[in-house]
Amino acid sequence: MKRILFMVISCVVGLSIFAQSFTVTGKVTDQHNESIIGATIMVKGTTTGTTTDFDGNFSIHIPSKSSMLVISYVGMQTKEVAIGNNTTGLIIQLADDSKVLEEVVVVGFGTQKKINATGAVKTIDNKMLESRPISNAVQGLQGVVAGLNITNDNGGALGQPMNINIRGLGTIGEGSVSSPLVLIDGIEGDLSTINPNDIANISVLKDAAAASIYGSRAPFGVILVTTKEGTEQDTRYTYTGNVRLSAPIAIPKAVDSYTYALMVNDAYGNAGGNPPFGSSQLNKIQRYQRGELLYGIEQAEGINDWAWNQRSFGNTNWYEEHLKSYTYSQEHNLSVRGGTKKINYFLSGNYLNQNGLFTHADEQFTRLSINGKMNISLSDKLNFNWSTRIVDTKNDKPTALNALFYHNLGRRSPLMPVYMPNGEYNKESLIPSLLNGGRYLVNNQQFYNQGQLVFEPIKKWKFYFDLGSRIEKPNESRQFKKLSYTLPDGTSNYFPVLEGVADKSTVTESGTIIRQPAAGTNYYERALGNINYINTNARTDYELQFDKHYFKVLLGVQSEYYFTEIIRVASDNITLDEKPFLPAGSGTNPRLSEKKGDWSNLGLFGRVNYAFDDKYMVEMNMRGDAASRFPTKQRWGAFPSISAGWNMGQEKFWSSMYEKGFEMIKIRASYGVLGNQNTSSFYPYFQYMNSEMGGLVINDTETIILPGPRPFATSLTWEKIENTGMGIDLGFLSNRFSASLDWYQRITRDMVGPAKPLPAVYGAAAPRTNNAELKTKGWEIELNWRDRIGKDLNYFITATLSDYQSIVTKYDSPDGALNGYFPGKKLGDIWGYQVEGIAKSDQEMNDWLQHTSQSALGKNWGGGDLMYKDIDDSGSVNAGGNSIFDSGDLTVIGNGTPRYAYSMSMGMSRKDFDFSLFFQGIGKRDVFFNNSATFFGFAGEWQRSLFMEHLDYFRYAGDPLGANLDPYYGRLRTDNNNIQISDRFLQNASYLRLKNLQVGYSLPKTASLSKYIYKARLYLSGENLFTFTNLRIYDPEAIGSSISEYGPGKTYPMYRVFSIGLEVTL
Amino acid sequence: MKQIINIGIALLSIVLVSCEGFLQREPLDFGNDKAYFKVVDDLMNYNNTFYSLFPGMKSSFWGGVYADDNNSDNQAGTTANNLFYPGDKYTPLVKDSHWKFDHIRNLNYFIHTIQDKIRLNEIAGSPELINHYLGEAYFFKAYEYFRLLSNIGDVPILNDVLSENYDELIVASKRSPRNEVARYILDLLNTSHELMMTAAPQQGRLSKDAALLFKARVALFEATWEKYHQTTAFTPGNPKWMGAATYPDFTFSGGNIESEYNYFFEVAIAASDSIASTHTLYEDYQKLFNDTKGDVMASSEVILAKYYKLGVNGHSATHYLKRTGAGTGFTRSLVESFLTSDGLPIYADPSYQSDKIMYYMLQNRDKRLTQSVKVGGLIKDNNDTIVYYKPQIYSSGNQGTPTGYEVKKWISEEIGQDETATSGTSSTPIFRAAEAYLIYLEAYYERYGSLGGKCDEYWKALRNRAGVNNNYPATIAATDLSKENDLAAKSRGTEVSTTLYNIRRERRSEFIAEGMRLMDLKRWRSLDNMTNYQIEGFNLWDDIYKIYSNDQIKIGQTVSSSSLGVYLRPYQIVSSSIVYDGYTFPKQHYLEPIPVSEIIMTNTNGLDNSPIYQNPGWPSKIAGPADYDFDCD
Repeated sequence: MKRILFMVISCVVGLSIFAQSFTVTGKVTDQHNESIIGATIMVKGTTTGTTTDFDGNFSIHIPSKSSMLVISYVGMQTKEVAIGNNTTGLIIQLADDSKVLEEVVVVGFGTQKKINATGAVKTIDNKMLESRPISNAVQGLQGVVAGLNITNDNGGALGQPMNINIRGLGTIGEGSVSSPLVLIDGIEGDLSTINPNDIANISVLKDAAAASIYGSRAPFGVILVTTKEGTEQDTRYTYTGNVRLSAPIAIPKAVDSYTYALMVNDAYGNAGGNPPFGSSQLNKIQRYQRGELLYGIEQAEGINDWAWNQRSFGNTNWYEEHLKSYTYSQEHNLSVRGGTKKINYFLSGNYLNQNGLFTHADEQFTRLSINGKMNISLSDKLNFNWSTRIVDTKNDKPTALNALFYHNLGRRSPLMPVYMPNGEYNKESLIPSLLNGGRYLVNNQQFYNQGQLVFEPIKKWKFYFDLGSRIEKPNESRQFKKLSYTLPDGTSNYFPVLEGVADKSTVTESGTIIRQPAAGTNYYERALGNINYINTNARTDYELQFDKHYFKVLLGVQSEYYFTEIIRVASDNITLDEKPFLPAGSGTNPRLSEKKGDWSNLGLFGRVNYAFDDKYMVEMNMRGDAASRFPTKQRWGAFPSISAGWNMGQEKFWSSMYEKGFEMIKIRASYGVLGNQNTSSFYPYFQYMNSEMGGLVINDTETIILPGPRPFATSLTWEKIENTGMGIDLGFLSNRFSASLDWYQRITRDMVGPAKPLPAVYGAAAPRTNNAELKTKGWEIELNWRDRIGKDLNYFITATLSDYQSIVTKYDSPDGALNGYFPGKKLGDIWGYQVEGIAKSDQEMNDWLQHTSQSALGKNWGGGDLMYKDIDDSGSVNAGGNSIFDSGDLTVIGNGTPRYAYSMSMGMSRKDFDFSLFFQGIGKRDVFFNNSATFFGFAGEWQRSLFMEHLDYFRYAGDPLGANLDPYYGRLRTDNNNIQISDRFLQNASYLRLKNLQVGYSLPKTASLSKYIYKARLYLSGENLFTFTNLRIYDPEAIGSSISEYGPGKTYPMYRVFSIGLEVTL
Repeated sequence: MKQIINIGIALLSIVLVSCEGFLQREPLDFGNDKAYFKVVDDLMNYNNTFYSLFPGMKSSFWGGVYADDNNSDNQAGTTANNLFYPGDKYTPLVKDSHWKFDHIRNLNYFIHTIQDKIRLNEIAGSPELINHYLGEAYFFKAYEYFRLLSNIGDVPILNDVLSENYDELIVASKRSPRNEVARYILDLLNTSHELMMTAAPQQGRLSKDAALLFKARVALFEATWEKYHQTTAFTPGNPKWMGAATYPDFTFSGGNIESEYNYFFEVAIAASDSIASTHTLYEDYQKLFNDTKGDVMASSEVILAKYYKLGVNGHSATHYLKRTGAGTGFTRSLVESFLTSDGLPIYADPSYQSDKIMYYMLQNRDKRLTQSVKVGGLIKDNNDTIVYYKPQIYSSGNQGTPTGYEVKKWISEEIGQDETATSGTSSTPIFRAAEAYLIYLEAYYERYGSLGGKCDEYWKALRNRAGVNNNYPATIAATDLSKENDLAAKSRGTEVSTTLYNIRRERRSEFIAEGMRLMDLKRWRSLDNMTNYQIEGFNLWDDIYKIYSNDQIKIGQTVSSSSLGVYLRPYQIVSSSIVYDGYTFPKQHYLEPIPVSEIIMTNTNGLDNSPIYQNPGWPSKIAGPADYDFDCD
């Protein structure tokens, strides 16, 4: 039979060579026999094409009757039609693009029909990443998948990493790490470096059942990225590119110099100190403001230097001075895609160039990536896939543009002028450091190579052999130049590039060189690294379907090896400041470090899927893992998981409902235990003892010191993560409506935490052990609706909502310290005082103090200060033992965990126009800006950040700034009386942000155009366009987290982006 | 098909067999203790860690030895010190407290390891050096224990590297009576002295003499502490002692407390004599503190010094002291206690000119004063300006000086030394022989009540160098304690003898701006008479106020009111100052509190049975200030 068919076909093909072209006419309709306007008709394998007219009719020339027509239309399933002899009056009916039964999800080592999936898996295509002016794929994923939490507290620095977790924090991070595993085409990679345009789809494996096949590297979920590959088609060239304008948002509004001086005087006076600005300086400040003085700084009395800092009298808004109103960036992407039956290929190149927001800092981030992918069919039974990816990222910025810069910018006094009387930039302006202080260049090259052999000896029984390698070459150089300023007498003096920090020269345990050179020292540092990761994997799967039974079995082994090394070399007194290189020989004050380490992992895995009639599904996973990080006896761990599902929609009793469109109601449940091997150290069970530079001089040289050996743990082993989850998937009305609901609980057992504190006579920190436990509970909802109004208007609405909370259920905390962990502690809890209000007068404060002593919080109480509540009726407000056993007057006033993460995206397209909106937000989050000068205006002598918001502080009548008896802030003080952690100043950091808005116009697909251009689209896209929040002063994504060195708000600003872009496919 | 399965199984088993080797990974860039101590340099490097315990100047930042006496009546900082008034000093967290034993653990580890290795002859290097470094470790252990003794008093004596066994740690937490701790320190120093080399193997390292001098310091400290604090809660052997319940059968090794402290005095006399008799004083007092060349440090007087180097640890002392008031200043009390060059107290010397004009007040005075304080004011001699310097009382923070007497000691006049906060390279003496001279004087007089032995020789040597008439009997005769503006004129509320007072005066003068004063005031129990005590600076309102602009000296803002007296009172400028009425020292502050968490942690079974008893007056259940009603006597 087959042979006959083949002969017929070859005859037809043979004949057609000599045949003339034919004209085919017909009509395209939808399921309801409504004609479709603008549907595309292409002759398969050619660029010949046309579109339907207003009545849905078309007419096209085809080279032969054996040609196939491909009919496509947005929102409908693409259909291929063989012509044969029916060349006229064809009626082609397109079906709605509902994939309810065909839709697949990408799971570990394979794909699965969505209807049969029993784990919590979400697969998204690259629509959410397309045309967005984002700098990396992580940004694009924020808010897209419920339960994939991507948060950012650190603003928009170029190359800024964001925090990623799946379903909340998995550990408290004291000795172990809980980040999700990111696999790009099966090899672990960095999600932020992949070209977003290369991504075909992303799958998020959220629960143990889905992730367990990846074992001990994946206890906290997996993100699977599949990149685009070639298809059997003519070669297509696609260019996409955009240019962007970025503008900083939520920049604090600083007060002017005179207001500043008055506020400072108030603060000192209120705390019982001496007002630092006397009348003569106030006078100078005012005269400068009026333009009567030319310069804002003068020579200091009696010495050959300038009257720096608070003694100057300029009037500068430092944020305005330092921030551009906008900056531009660009991205270009070119790809080639095509293939034959034997070989498919996809090649792409991407270039991203971003500029920084700071006026005086020439700052650039560039990413260049080249990706090649090839699938070769060696024989019927043997396939070979090969891919290569090169990513080169470069961040080039002034050395001085670091965390300290944002800190110094935040506390810059407006009294400082930008220019000196001699025309130089004021050294305190931070500008000379940015302009001439030296550059910091971070370059990382990643080189991925992957080969895969697929052998299918018997239909449906496949063997896969994977070999993947990642080579990374991190490369840094950092330079500090000599900077000098001119003294009043014309001589010059050196000043340090970094202001306000101690000169330092140490090599940390992690190998980094902390160097803050003294004034007049030029310094140059190089870091060169080499990272090798090799992953081998051999597996086999077999699929079996008979009657209504479906089986799939998977077995495999995997080994991983990771090696990292980085060498740092640094020296002082570099010969050429303009072209720095390390001097031959040891140079001056050399610093050297080499850090290296490796780990290996071996895993055996197996999976069995069984489904009956698309109704009942069971999946079992088993993974055995051995990790080099644990001692031999504790090395192996076995991690089983099971999940099951029941698709009620397929049941007989449901058939009437099915007919009405309620096609899928699937209930699923899963349970699994996974191990975590991601200890912070590669060698957690080895004693550490190492010599280092001591920073002391003995015998006229810098000493080497050898600190004593640290106690170390010999019993450290796997953290065991127990996952339980349940979910419902819905797909109604031909999948126009789909939804999923998930509930889960995760218990991290044997979590690594600090050991029980020991009495101080022990003389060391006790080593960490597996002695803690964390429980996380959460839920997720995803809703989708997509439909069409009339013939032309397609639209969709998607919404997600998720939440989780984590509680420490076990922890050795004999003292129950509130700032540490203890059993029952909810992560993120903020303990603080409760505030009655602000005393309007000294009398009111005295009355309050009669029954509530506040001496533990400060002295010199009076009108304008906060009245704290005596919760425990002890007669005084205090923190007790700062312990859960004795919390004094502290109570939980809020929680800093971002909760109720939600998003909403909607889009529509009508003929050639498309429009989409994407909102993202956090429903509840409390933050307290502890001791923050930028929030309170004052926190200690050197921390003054006075913004317009701070003017809302308590003042009596008669104050030069006017009375304010009902303010938000208490009276300004240099001490801590009014900045204790309290509910009064607890901030609501929830927000709703219009993350992206897009308007696009596509070139109509007409036969004449389609000859040259397959597809063309022009779009406008905006990122972070609007933000709705009640948060004061800061942007909710730039508040600075505990990892920002200098406290809240001292970060790179967030920004808004407008872009215009073009996509052309030829 | 079968073949494939066979191949698969074969592959799998190969993988599994070779996996142990594949999975065994060892650290590539750090070692463990087995890898070290095979050569003598490792011993040296290990000890280098502890050299940072010595006092010195700060790099980059303000502070260091020149400002350490801000915690006493000698110097004043920009803010009141919470040690000297009730209410602001709290029981600390362990990390901020003196109750820390980390260095002791590491030193015990070292001593045990090295002793074992010496026995097994496992260390390559000269035996002399190996012994020396073992001796250094004993010294540092003594140094750490002295920190514990002088701040906390009774502390646990730890000889071993303790295991993590909680119950054993509770037992090990038991405090030993302070006299036994002091005797233990002396033992450590004896061992150290035996092991170390006579000449330090490297510049800036310890030697035998350092152990001897430190031994004298410890012995004198303990002797005077026990003498002046006897029969109070601060000494063992009486029912008020906090350890009385823990040690019901306590007896002094020396029999009674008097024989105990006399034993310490005798140790102090012997140890200090062996230093003083072999080390002469360097002739140029000022140069001792601002030398960058190293020849002074090689002198006989300097037994150990801290060294600095550009790019490594260059210090900020000259930078701050020369350019600013450095946030400190001498007090009127200190300046007045110095003798005139005739060897007389200022009130007994008719040549003394009043302090209305600083320049004249500093004529014919002890060189140790004139070389240590900057001269301020406007002095003209026929149209030539001799002095024009405005002490920076109007500047705030570390720019200014709270008293007007700005510190000159420690300033190096060499070019470049003041340029940045890291360009100072002048060395800081840590141990110098003059201390031995002073210890001898004090210990001898305290022990025997006379100035026998070598007192005469040593006292005269100190005075000769200071340019003060060495006729100390005349000084003693001219001394009227009621005219002395000095807390140390009294111990425990009663005046001491004029001889003893002049020995204390000599010590105060010799150690100006060297950070020794607080320890002395505590051991002499001289803080008892600090009640409503006003810290005063220079004489502002008689004359020098004229050189300031009105904006610079605003009463209530930068200076105290002239109605309070002619002297500048830094803590009486604003009426809201917490010590407006002066310092009143609470006796509970003689000893530092022990962190409450340590006491709670060592209670077994939730009972109040911790072996750690709290220091007098400090709470042991909830963190907070001392109980000022607690009767320490």
